Amino acid sequence: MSNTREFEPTDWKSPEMQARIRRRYRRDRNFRAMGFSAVVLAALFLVLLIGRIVQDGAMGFMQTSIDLDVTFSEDILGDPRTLDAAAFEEQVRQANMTRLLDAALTAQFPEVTSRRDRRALIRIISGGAREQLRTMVLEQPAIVGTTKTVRLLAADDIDQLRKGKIDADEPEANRKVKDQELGWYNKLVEEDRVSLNFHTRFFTSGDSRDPELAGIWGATVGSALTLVVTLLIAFPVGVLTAIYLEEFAPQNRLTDIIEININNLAAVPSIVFGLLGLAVFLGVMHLPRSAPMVGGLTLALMTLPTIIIAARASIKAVPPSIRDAARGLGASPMQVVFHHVVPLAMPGILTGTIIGMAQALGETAPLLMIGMVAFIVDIPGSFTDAATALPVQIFLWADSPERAFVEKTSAAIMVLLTFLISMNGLAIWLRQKFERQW
Amino acid sequence: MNDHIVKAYDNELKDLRSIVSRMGGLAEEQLVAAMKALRELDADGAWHVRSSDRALDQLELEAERAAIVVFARRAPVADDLREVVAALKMTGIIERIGDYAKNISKRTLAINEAAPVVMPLLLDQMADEARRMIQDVMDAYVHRDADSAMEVWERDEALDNLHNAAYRQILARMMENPNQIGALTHFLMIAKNLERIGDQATNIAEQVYYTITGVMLEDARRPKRDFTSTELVEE
Amino acid sequence: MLDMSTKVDPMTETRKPKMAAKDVNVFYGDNHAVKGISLDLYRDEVTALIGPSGCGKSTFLRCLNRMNDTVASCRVEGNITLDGDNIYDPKIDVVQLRARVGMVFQKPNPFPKSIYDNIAYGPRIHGLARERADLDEIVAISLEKAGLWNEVKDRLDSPGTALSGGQQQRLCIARAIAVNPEVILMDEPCSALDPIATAKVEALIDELKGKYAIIIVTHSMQQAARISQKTAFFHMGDLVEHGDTTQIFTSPKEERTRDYITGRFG
Repeated sequence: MSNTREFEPTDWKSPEMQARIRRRYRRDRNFRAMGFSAVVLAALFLVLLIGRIVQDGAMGFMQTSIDLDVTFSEDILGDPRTLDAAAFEEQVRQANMTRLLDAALTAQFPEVTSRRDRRALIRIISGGAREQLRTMVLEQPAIVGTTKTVRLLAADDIDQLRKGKIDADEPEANRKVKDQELGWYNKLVEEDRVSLNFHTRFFTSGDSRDPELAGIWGATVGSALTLVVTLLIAFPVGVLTAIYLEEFAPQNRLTDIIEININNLAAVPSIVFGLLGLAVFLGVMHLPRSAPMVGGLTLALMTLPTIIIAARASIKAVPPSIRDAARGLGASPMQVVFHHVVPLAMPGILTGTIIGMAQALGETAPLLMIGMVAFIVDIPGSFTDAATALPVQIFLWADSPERAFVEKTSAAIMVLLTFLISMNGLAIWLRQKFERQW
Repeated sequence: MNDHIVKAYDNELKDLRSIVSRMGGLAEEQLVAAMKALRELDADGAWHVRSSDRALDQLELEAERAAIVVFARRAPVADDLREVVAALKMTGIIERIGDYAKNISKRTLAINEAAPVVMPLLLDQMADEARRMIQDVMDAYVHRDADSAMEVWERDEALDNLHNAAYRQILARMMENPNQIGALTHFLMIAKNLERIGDQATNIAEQVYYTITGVMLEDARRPKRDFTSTELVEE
Repeated sequence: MLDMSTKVDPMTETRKPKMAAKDVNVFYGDNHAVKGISLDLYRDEVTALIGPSGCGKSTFLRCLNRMNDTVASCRVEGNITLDGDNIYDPKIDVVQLRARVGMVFQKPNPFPKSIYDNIAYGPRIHGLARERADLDEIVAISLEKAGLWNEVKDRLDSPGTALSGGQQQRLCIARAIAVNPEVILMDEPCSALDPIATAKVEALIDELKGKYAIIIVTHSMQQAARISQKTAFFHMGDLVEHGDTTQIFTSPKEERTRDYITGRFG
């Protein structure tokens, strides 16, 4: 034992050692500082982005209305007491509501007499006011013959004026709202007839050329139907594929090739899937254009790789000891997989699916390619009706010339972001809930 | 045989073995000293042997302690187990040999009290044979030589024969010199002690053999030639 | 310290082995892990397989219930029989084989289900219980045999993973017993347990040996000496020595065996 070599005693307190320690601590601090600054910077950008969107979009949820005294005259609407229900309805539907409006406005502004001025006056009320009045009469026929103060939607220019987006102090040549209209507006304001209210119609109506009438419900339903189709196709196919590849497929060249291709597909630009959808679903299979079914199929193709990869990772993460235990008891390979592996992998699979769905919700390009870009006013009723989707709607509105659409676009973005955040939140919650300690 | 991976284990076994060896050597010395005291009727020598017996007792205690430590700490198996069990038994046997030597000295003192009587020469022969048996079996132990152990085991026959002869001789002398019966009786006992020492050496040989080979030499296989305890000896 | 209870009686050695391996060779790709092993395994006794790491004892054990089937690169040659039938015959149903030859693993691996469901899973998939009452009985009997009944009878619905390590392992043993096996294979069942849990499992094994053929792979020689009646020493894929446990631990015939059990080589 005496021929082993010995270490020289280390002087841990020497100045070199101390310098090393200080250097180490400094590097540590620097790295932490960098990390912290990065987080702060990211937070700042986030605040900026969200702040901007909220600033632009907050007003999109509010809409200006004007209170007018409207006389529901019998001559235009018909007498519900003398006519039977069907005839009355027919009359009301055919009635020229503009005349009612015209009468109400002239009553409000008696000084307006010329035809040209009266047309200008009517333009301060939204085009949808006519339908508003019609619906009122149909719902409450007794209203005929009375005069009521009705809250009617203002036109989009007036709305923007009220929200301060149009500057009254600018020279008239540069303004959308001319002096004449401005005067009428101010008079209405004096009489306390102008109000800014929460615009539920934004959430209940389909698209429209008029910003004050436009809503996202059509696009929401379209998105929902599309996602349902995507989920129904992508989830079972994706999960079963992952199970097969991970548990049952033989380990050979072919399986490797399939694996490589699936991984690559996850990185393919989504517009390529749109082209595929266009060529196959529309061109070859002649499925209805713009339908959620086609959109769903295309998005399903796009989401499949995500789901398969997430599902495979979850399945791989199930510890082999559980499989051994099941196999040792005499469970067949199918029983091992479906009784033990899949339930334990389910949280991960669900998380992956939700993330995939959130991705699909926000995709625009493939939907553009298969035609879900048309101007659709009606709310889609089935998987084969023409529809549009939220991101596409946002894209269309962003393109519109009307000023009022700017805030609507931001408002729609806020709605879309809320959906995405809640879906991701759901994924996180699910993961937390099902987290197990092996 | 390789060393144990844990060196301390080897050291503990080595210590145990060295105690056993020392005891064997000490017992041999006791025998020689006792016989010398007997031959020369040296009272001081006899007393010395008696007091030296304590050293053997001490060594036996030491060996016992060492063996228990190995059992507790190492949980020995196979060779090691046999070795430790054998070491325990051997120290007991050797201690008994020491007791026989002590007994010889005790009788030497008793013989001295009476009129000095010449020691029968056969006793010397017996003692020499016994001593050589002890020496050879301890050598076999140290060198792990199973064949030597077996050979010692077989020499017991010769010692038994010598004992029979000595027995007859002393009896004859008793009949010739009735006044020496006292001393001669002691010589008879001494002869018995020497024969028993031979038996114990045989026991040691059995332990050594079992340690090395794992096979026991059954009692039944030992040829019994000593009939003095079962028959009346006629002259 | 040593098991002296059953001395091998030459007369009873003529009884038939429950499982018999003849000239078994196992390859992992090119690696010859188990070389020409022939071994008879009897009912009513515990056979311990000992040997240094990588000597092939676990590999051999896993051949006995065909768990090696799941390893792609593994190739098994030779003959292994259960009650005289070759278990590698293509007509044999592996699923049923694994119910007859149960296995307990090194690290306790209860399913993340309730205690009741852990035990009930095996009988359910093999159709051993017709009604709920039958299943209840099977669960109760298995837990009793595993010495766990009194500790868990009031909480059969609590998760199996909430038990202590030793209890989990006994749960796994109960789970294996529930399908009524004939042979129980144990791969180092106590290596993850503390001494008291180990002692309880060993006591359990001692009781179980009356009904099943138990084969246990163990790293602890003291354990092999304590609980087995027969011991087989493996080294580098070879079966070096196989015999009565008492004889192996007092006078082993082979030098390699002697060197291993006395700690003269690792």
